[in-house]
Amino acid sequence: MTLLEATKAVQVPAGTPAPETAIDPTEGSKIDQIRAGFRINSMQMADATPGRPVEVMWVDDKWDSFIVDPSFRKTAVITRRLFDAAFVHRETTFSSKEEMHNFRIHQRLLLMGQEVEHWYFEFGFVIPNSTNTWQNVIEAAGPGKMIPPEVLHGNLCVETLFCEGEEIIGKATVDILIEELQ
Amino acid sequence: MGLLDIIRKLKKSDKELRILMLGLDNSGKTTALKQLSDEDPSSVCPTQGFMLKSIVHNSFNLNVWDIGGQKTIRPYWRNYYEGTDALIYVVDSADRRRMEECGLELSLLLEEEKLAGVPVLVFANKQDLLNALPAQDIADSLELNGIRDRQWQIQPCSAKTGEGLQKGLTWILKSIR
Ligand SMILES: Nc1nc2c(ncn2[C@@H]2O[C@H](COP(=O)(O)OP(=O)(O)O)[C@@H](O)[C@H]2O)c(=O)[nH]1
Ligand SMILES: [Mg+2]
Repeated sequence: MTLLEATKAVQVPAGTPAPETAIDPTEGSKIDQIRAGFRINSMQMADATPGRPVEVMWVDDKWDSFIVDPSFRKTAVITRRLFDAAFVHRETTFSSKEEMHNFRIHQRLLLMGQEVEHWYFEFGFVIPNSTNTWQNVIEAAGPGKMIPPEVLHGNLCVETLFCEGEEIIGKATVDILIEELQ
Repeated sequence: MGLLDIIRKLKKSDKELRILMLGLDNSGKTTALKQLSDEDPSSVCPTQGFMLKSIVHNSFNLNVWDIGGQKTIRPYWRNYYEGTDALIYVVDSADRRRMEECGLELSLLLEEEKLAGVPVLVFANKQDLLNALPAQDIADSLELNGIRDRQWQIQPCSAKTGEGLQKGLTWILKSIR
């Protein structure tokens, strides 16, 4: 794959499988090194409706054990207004000690375990000892096409897979709860 | 007009638009990107890597890459050139001490094969500061008039107040058509 192809973001059609999430303990030392030097600094979600300031609705900066603990999950309690936003802004800040060449992120939206949306981004190069931010701004489906918040509450999760090439560095899972329905 | 408006104006054949923002550290790249996205620009801290903003709309993709400008990071800039549709070079108009260094880095970028022919927009930023050099002086200092192999434009602006940023974006849209 050329760097050009590698830098192209594709919205993957629903049904495209994400890489296997199991982490193989027999894997070579390079990916282990990457893992050891990788961390999530923060994740956030915001309302990015045009014409007004971006309003942060959820932010979490406690991700220390996400690499070592595969069952690590977070819960985000979000006001239902976020589901009315015309554009949703998702932000991930991560650090890497190691240089990477084929860094990519898969982000999936799961409803009751079923994939409803899937984004995939090829970053390519990651500078050694860097801290990087990905802001992903996505247009909402629009009125009438949205799944009602009552259905989403407790059944929706955002899964983010961090990969170097085909190998998984780590997985961050966030369960979504809706504040007003708690 | 912000980044969201830009993506709405893309013509149907543009599937993806890749904009690369470079410039010395502290020139205001991240502030400009935040200002253009209606995000609070007061909270920026120095970028120790990249900040990528990707916007998806009607299956178009707008990707704006803001790469840190510290001297130690500059050797890695080259990893992000490929596929660039437009280059934004941000200048701190009040940083007279580093104007020469700023011009040198730009001239190196313009020699890069992977950026050949790519339109370049120079933001003469921080015009709100009293000691800011006028855009014309910056154009002279960076020898922009010598650029023959691509479209270029210099736009005075303030990433802090937002003034001038939209004009710059409008030029970019025009230049990539
Ligand atoms: N007065 C003024 N300060 C600015 C302007 N743009 C950025 N700054 C400040 O310059 C500093 C560096 O900005 P930043 O966006 O981090 O620069 P970067 O390193 O190029 O990303 C910050 O303290 C900003 O608040 C501007 O237009 N006017
Ligand atoms: Mg910056």
